[in-house]
Amino acid sequence: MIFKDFFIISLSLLGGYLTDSFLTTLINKPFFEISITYLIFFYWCYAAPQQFSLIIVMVTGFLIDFIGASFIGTHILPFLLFSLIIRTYAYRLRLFSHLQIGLIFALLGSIGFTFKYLFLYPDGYFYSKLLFNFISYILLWPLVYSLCRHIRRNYIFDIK
Amino acid sequence: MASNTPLHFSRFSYFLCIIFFSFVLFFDTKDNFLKSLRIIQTSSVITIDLMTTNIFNFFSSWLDTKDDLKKTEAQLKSLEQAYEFLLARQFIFSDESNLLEGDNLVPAFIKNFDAYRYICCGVHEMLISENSYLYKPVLNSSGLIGQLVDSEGNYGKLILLSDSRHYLPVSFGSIYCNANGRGMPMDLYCTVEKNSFETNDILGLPVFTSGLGGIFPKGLMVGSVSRVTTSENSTEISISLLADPRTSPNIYIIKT
Repeated sequence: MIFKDFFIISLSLLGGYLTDSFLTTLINKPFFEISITYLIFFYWCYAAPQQFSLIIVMVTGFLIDFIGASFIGTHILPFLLFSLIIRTYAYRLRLFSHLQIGLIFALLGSIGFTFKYLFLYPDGYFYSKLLFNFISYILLWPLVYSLCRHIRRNYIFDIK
Repeated sequence: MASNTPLHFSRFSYFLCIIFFSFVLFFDTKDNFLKSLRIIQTSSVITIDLMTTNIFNFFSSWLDTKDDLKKTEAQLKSLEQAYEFLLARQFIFSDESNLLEGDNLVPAFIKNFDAYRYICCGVHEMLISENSYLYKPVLNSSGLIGQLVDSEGNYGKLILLSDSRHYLPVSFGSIYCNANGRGMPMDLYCTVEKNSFETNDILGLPVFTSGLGGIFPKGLMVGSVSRVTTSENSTEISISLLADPRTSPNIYIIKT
């Protein structure tokens, strides 16, 4: 993977993080949260399992933690775990439909969500938020998939 | 490539990294040992904000020839600040400790506030331009917002009333209690003994600081009773806060 590809992937994750924070701030309800960052991360793990290696996963996780002023590891740990799972079943996942993949990613994302809130921010944990988050993963997956696929095909030449 | 081709990579290195970062996260949450990284992030945000504002001002002054408009905008800004200061003074006029005697309000500005984590994660703190007057109450033009608890570099760290670490002694009607935030924006909670009052009697009642604890002056309005939930042994009272910390960057520290 060349630096430009890494830069674009990091930029897409950063864009996801900014979108998450913008939408949450705009809607201004503590019961609402979507995690486009995780969906974008899932996409890159799913679409480029060979290129999206351990180092890249750690660096992108660290960048998101640093930019969000979170505790170091808040994103790195779930990213490592998800990357391990998705890389293990990378090509087998491609047999599934978008709905099934959306469900699998929603389940993984909910694990990340629960990890974040139960261990780090227990004040912000609500079941309604978890449910909303889960549904939003399924609904937003096709959108994120199309957008990232467009970016990959047009701007990242190393990953085909 | 076939859909079931296995992908070879070292799972051991993944496990090693997961264990390593678990330790990092554990010690970071426990001892805050990577605080310096967060300070770098915060100062970067403040610097970028300052730089973009300066660059914007430079180009707007270079391109813009409407001096009168700029002067009016500057006047408007200073008038807004003066107006908010008057509102804050009017707010503390209601207390019972004669705070208006002397100049007891120290103006300051919000320097860094993460609105995302304020809503999502219950992180109710901000950095302000003043780091003297530790442990003093802070208000904005609409009311009390929090307490200055620490200094970080040149800035002061303020925790908001709705933060789960903050307790505020309040009174409403004949009831006294320690109201505590739970990380919910604009809400405080009080737990009192059951049956010490009628629910309908206290709904909507204004809530004031009780003066107990010696930090917050007595008689300042905090908010109003918005909900009463009764359980087996106790009654939980929700208080809607009067002041939203996001309304203005101008804030004031009560220095006595």
